[in-house]
Amino acid sequence: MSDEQNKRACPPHIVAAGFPNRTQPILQREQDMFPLLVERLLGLDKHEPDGSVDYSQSLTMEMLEENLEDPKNPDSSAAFLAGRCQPTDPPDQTKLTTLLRAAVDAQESPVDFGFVEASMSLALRGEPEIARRKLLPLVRGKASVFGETSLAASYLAQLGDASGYPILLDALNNSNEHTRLMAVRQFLAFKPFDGQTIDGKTINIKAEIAGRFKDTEPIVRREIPGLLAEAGVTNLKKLLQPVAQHDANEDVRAAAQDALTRFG
Amino acid sequence: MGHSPITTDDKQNSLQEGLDGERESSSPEMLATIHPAYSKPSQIARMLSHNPSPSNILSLQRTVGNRVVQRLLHPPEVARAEEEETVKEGTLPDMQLDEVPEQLKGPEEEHKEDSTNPTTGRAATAADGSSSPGPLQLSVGNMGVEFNNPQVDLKSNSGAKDAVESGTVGTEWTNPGTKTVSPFGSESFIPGFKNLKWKAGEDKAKPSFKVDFTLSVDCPWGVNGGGKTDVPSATDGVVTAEPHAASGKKVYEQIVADLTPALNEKSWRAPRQYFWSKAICARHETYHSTDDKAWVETTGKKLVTDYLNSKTVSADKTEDDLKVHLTKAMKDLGTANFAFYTGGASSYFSYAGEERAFGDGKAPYQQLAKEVGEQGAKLEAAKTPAPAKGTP
Repeated sequence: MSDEQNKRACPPHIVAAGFPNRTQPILQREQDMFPLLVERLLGLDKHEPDGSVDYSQSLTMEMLEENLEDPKNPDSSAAFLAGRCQPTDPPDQTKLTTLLRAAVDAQESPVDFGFVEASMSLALRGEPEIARRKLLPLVRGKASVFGETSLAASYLAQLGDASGYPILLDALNNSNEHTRLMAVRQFLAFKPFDGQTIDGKTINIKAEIAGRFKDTEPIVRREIPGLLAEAGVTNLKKLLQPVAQHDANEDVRAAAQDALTRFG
Repeated sequence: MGHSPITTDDKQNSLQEGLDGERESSSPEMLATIHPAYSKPSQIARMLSHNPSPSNILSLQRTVGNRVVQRLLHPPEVARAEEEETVKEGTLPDMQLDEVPEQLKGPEEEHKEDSTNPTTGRAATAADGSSSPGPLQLSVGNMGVEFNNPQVDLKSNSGAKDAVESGTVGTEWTNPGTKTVSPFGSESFIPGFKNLKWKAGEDKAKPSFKVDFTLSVDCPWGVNGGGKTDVPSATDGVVTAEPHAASGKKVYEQIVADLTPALNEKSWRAPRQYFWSKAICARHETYHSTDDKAWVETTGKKLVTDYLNSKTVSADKTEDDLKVHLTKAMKDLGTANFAFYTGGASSYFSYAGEERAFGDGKAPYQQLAKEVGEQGAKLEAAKTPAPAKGTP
């Protein structure tokens, strides 16, 4: 038997795991991300798939162990995947949980994607209270530039805690377009809380996402049509038609037109 | 805790023509990154120590600069000894994303996350002898952006460089020949920092910590036909009117079919079943690298600056803390670039970066396919004998 055949597979296992706020669009996002992050672990970078390999079936325990072995520096892709795959052998399942717990316990600088992903994966592997306790401090300060705090807010919402909503709003006011973009991508997780009030802010994801059509940067505006469609907002046509016709940026107009064609 | 390598103003080593006493790093690591002919720092030092010929020195002077050469020929040992007592500024070795695991080892001591908005702080301990230092607000000083997009494929070792804002770096040669390139090509984004210099502010009432550096990004790319036949042009010998053995179509008809782009999700993709265009595939991968270049010069640069400006370093562990911040910035910049590439889309042919890159290649593919069709028609006409005069 070759070395490849001896490797222990960790096939996708993307489920709500008992958390009703992990809605179908959230799970769909994770299914889309899964093969992409496997490719990243394999070092494939930006490449055209030839269709001969299903990377969602290429993840192995060896890859996860290698990329999670240093608990102070867990690879964020590996940390994500470790919560969305399930090895066949029970000892391997235990091993994954142990690796994630070590990564979560070792972090003294929690503003780190690897840490945030490890925390959520630990929740999905059955230890949600540890995850909540570790993620909560991240959403009580200022929004981080790269987007870790927005991701933490999303994960807390998926675990049933909407207290991270204000930090998303804070991130939307950041002067950096990437920070705003990373925040607007996370409003989807707050859809189950629409209408609730957190720290005096009423959750309204349609208004917040659509409000980004006024963003100064096309890199942000371009994603709004797809995010609105993904969130299943009503009156999509009314929102998108003006953008498809009048936005100053060609890519944004095209994105709005594409969403109209597919979902309008 | 060591503070090496560290440089100071060193008049003794500023005696050569054109020298003005400005601080400059002379670390071999830096030299390796900026001299085009040597891939390892030790090679440069060895070359100078064993063969300090005028031609070698002249070559280095032209590339890395005279002051750097003088530093290697005459190491500032005396000045370095003095620096150990009054550390207010220093340099760090270059960093690159594929070295993250080692970089993250960082300080031996436990590192604690600093506060993002410190309200108190003191001047550098090592400089003024304070015993209980507070955090220093970090700020980005001079920041350059350097961009490299070497082609990496089985047939080419050459690299191309496009220096954007290059304060201290002259040229660079990158040759990551181990990159595996699968059909039809790939491109990578590898951020790093060079020419890292830090300086602690001397105003004790307003502690500060400034860092200057060049944000260096390598975007190696490559193409691979995967056994398909390249169509360099419509008039190339590969374009014939003979039957294609596998498809049964005429060869030129098959080429037209293979090179005519069709919309797949959001991307205009040519099927390339038997034939491919190496030139247009190279254009596609190069597009990705220039796409990354534009991103890193705007959003990416702002991200690093905003992140570092929100951080502090402890006065007694300046270099270690700075290294932690830089390593995280470098790692997260790669993740941010990937988010830019996907544009939040769910599949390859809808990724924003692919939509742009395939969009860029649409017209060239259409043009080549059109010309091949025209050439095929000519070849067909040439095969058909002209009717003889008087033949009914």
